[in-house]
Parts: sequence; C-alpha cells; structure tokens
Amino acid sequence: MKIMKKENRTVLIVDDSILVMERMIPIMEEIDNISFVVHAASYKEGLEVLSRLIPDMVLLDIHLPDKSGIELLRVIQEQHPEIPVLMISNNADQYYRDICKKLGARYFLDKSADVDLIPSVLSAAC
Amino acid sequence: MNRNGINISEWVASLDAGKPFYLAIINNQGSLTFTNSWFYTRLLSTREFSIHNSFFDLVPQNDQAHFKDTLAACSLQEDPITTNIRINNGLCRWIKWEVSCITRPGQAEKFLCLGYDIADEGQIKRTDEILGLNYRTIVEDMNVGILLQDAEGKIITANQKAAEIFNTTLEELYTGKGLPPLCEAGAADQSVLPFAETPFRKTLRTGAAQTNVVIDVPLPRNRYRTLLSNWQPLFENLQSVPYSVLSTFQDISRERGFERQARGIELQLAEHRLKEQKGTAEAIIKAQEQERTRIGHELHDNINQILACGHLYLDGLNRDTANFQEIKNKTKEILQLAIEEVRVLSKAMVLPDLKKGGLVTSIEDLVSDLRFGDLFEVEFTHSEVSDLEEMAQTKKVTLFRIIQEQTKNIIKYSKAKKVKIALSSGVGQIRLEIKDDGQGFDQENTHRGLGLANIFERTRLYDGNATLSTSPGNGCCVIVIIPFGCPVPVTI
Repeated sequence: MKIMKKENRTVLIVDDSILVMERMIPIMEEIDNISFVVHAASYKEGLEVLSRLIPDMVLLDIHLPDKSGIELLRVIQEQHPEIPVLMISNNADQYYRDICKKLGARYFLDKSADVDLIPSVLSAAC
Repeated sequence: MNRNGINISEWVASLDAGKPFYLAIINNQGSLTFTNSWFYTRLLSTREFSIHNSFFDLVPQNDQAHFKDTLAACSLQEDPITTNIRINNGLCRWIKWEVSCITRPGQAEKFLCLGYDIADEGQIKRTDEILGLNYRTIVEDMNVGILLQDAEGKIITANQKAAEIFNTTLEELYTGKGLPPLCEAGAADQSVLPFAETPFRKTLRTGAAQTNVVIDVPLPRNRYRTLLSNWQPLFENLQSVPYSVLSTFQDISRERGFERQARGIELQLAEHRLKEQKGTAEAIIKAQEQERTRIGHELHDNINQILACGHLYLDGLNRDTANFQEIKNKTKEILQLAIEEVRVLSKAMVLPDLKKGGLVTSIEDLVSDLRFGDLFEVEFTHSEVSDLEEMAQTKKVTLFRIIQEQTKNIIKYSKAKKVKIALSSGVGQIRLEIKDDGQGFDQENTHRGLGLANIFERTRLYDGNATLSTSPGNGCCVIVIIPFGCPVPVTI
C-alpha cells in the first residue's frame, strides 16, 4: 500500500475534451509533487468526485457539457474555499476573467495560448 | 508520449457512443497516478479503497498473477494487450481492459489502462438484486452441494444437496455436528486427511481458492463417496485472511468407478504384456542355452571322436609298415571328414548371409542340402522374389531360422517322404508353410519341444501368428504369418 506523503498533491481536472486530457496527462506526469490526478468530464462528474475527494487543486474549464464551469467554481468556493482553482478556457476574454476572479478563481489561463504555463502555475499553486 | 502516443480519443471513439469507460495510469507496482472520474468513483473511492491503494489491491488475488503477467508482456511489445480482469469493488465485476506501456525514455515504467464493464451497471445492479432476493432458491436448486463455513469451520449455510452428498441431514449440518471426515481420494487405506491438509484449512491458510479437489467421504459399511470439490475464500474488505469459505461438491463416484475400472484393465493388460515379454526373453535364453549344449555335444561327440580317431591312425603311421599308404589315406579321409563336420556345424551356427544371396537363395541352398541328404523329397515354392526381399533383414533371418528349425524336426521325428515349403507375400503380410507327410503326432499328449517353442516365440516377436496342424499318421503342417509393417523387436 502506498503511503501518502505530505508533498504528494492531488489534482482534479474538469474538462470535457478527451484531447485536452491526452495533453494534460504528460504535463501532470512531469510535475514531481503531483502524485494523483482525477479527470472529470462534466459538471456532474466533477461534483461526484468532489463529494469523495478534496483535491489540492482544481483545473476547471468554463464550457462543460451539462452546466457551466463557473457554476462549479461557485460550489467549490462555497464548500472548499481553501482549494485553489485554475480556470482554463478558450473564452479567455476579460469578461470571463473578471467573473472568475470575482468568484475566487486563483488563476486564469487561455487554453489555446497558455498551455505551456500550466506546469509552472501548478508547481507554484500546489 | 509513449512509443505509440496516447490514443485515448481513438479508443473512446471505438466504444458505443456514451459508454462509460475506466481510465487509469499505473506504474509497475500498481500505484495509481491518474484516473478518470468513472474509475475513481466506481472502483477507487469505495468503502474499501482509496487513492492510496494500488491497482493490484482492486484485483482479486486469483487474478493478480494474470494481470501482472499482462503488464510484463506490455512492456515488451508495442501494441496494447486486451485482457479481462475481475475488479473487486466490494462486488466483483468483469472489466475488459486494454493495457499499453506509456514509458518515456529515462522514466519508470507506466501503463495506461483503459477499460469498460463487460456487463453494464444496470445489469450488475439487477443481478445483485435478483441474487439477493433469490439466494436461497438458487442455492437449493443447484445440483451441487454448497457450504458456507466461517473461519472456525462452523457451517453458516448449507443446501439440501450438501446434506445428501455427505450422507447426513441439514439439521445435523446446521447444529454444528459439522462435516464427516474427508479422506484422501483413492488412497488405498482411505486415510482421513489431517486437519491442516484439508482443502478448507488450505483455503484459509493460503487465501487462494482450491479448485477441482477430489476427496472421499466415508459411507456406512466401509463404502466411500468420491467428490469433486471447489473451495473459494471470501474476504472482508481488504483483509488478507479470509473470513469464510464457500465450497461446492459434486458426487463423481460413478465416473471415478469407471475410471478405476479402466485403469484396472490397463494394468492387467500391462501385466500381461510384461509377462509375454518375460516369456519371450526366457524362451530366447533357453534356446541359446540349448544351442550351446547342442554345439558342445556336436564338438564332443562327433568332431572330437573323428579327430581322436585321426590321432589313433597317425600313431600307427610308420613308413616301414606295409599298409602305410592305406593308413595315410584313411587319416586324410578322417581329417576331411572333420573339416566337413566343422563346416556343417558352422553353417548352422552362423547367421546366413541373406544380404548377399537373399532369403530365397538361402532357402534354396538349404533345400539343396536337404536333397543331398536324400531322406525325403523337398519342394520349395515362393512368390515374386522382389516382393519377398523387401522384408526387413531381421524378419528374413527369423523365417530362415524357422525353416531350419522345422526341417530339423522333420529329419529327427517325422519319417516323412515328402516335404513342401511355400513362401508367399500377401496383402501386408508374409506367409510361410512347411508341410510334411510324416507320421505326425498327438498334439495334446506330446510335449512341445524347444524347437517348436522357438518357432512360436520368434513369430510372436514380430506380432505374427504361428499355427501347427498335426495328428498321428497325418503328417504335420506349420503355418507362420508375419505382418510386413510390424515393429522390429528390441534385441534381448
């Protein structure tokens, strides 16, 4: 049985794109202090995971198939305000940035332009 | 990322639309680093498991070796491997996995496991509901004995068939009188198995299922029932020691009986064959001894006498005597006779050089020797020489020896006037017939000598068949049939 060390961090990614998941897997594997990652493909799945696991960080897309990621951000902030949330979206205009920041998102990255920044943001946040 | 890249999207596209799938990344120790939510919520975050568990913890003990073998095979090949593994998430479910190695150069081995339920969630739930409601009915209606015992061996549940198989009553089973003693199946003394060696105890001790164990259960009047049994350990949560054992029993006494009978017949046959071989070996040794005695007699009684006689003549040889020339000629004659006798003897001893002249030529030589003796008329007929000469050399020598043996018998005992030897090749076999018109003999009241015994033994060595027809006053006929393709016997 694996013993959980303090530096072992868990991350929840909520994003409906399998291609993004394929991309995220090697990125997560690169970051040393992340030991476990769960991927949820919808708002519902995200909530289901969150009811059983309190991750050290959440990566959250705005556009989810069933409900907006902004709704999930609100729930997370209500239930676990200590969890840092990194929003990742193709809708990276200022409007969304402002809403997410207001709701408590710690970071906001443009999915198409800032993917390379994810490792450093995660390392800093976790 | 890996040698093939991660093709999750391609794999998902091959599934039925919307079919939920499990995804996990593990290292070669089974530690999980990545899962999708379906995997996490359905398999990992259950009452028994958490992210701290290894993937191997989810796999029932009986399937772990198979799954580890799959991982090992994956790391040696490019293509993913598909395998069915039971996943123990409190309730077992079969999942079809496609496993591929996604190791990057210089990094520890990692495996991508993609899977889906063979039976979907609805089917699993429905099965559990039906089984739960109908457990007793199902167990009672099964035509196998079923027992559920706790770690102390106390029976928690048993069905009627189990009571019947163990020759007891359900009441006795439930009231703690337990099972009758189990015996080692087929043991000559039907010894009761020591407790530590019972399949029940072994299942508890090793935590591994004991499958297809054959045991005997004693019945009244020294009879036994043979059972085929299977013992399955049941675990609570992640405990490594089973807390109960579920076992099933089938009465296979009838089948075992047939098996034993068949084995008995096989043993008898083997014994018979051994006896036959022993008989053949004895006959050959006896024949060799007899041949040695005959040669000894021949040397002593005949050649020795002739040479002694020559010696006597030589003693009397003196140039001054009047009959010098006569004695010299006589001595010469005696020496010539000795040479001739040695030649005859050696001809009988040495294997005929059938390679040179062939079987037919050798028989013809023998026949001309017999004719020279002028004791009886000899007729030799044979079929196509080329067909006969196709036979193995050892068989040719055997047939030749049989002819020698039988003609010797004819000379010694038959008082025959006419002898016929016929050699022919038929479909897959060679037939030899030696017939004389001599005085014959009463088969039942005449001891069959070594000569005839030799003929029969030699024939049997080649899976052949020899028959003897004779009666007083009616001559004698020996027929030998040897198959063409029979195995060449091992020389003893």
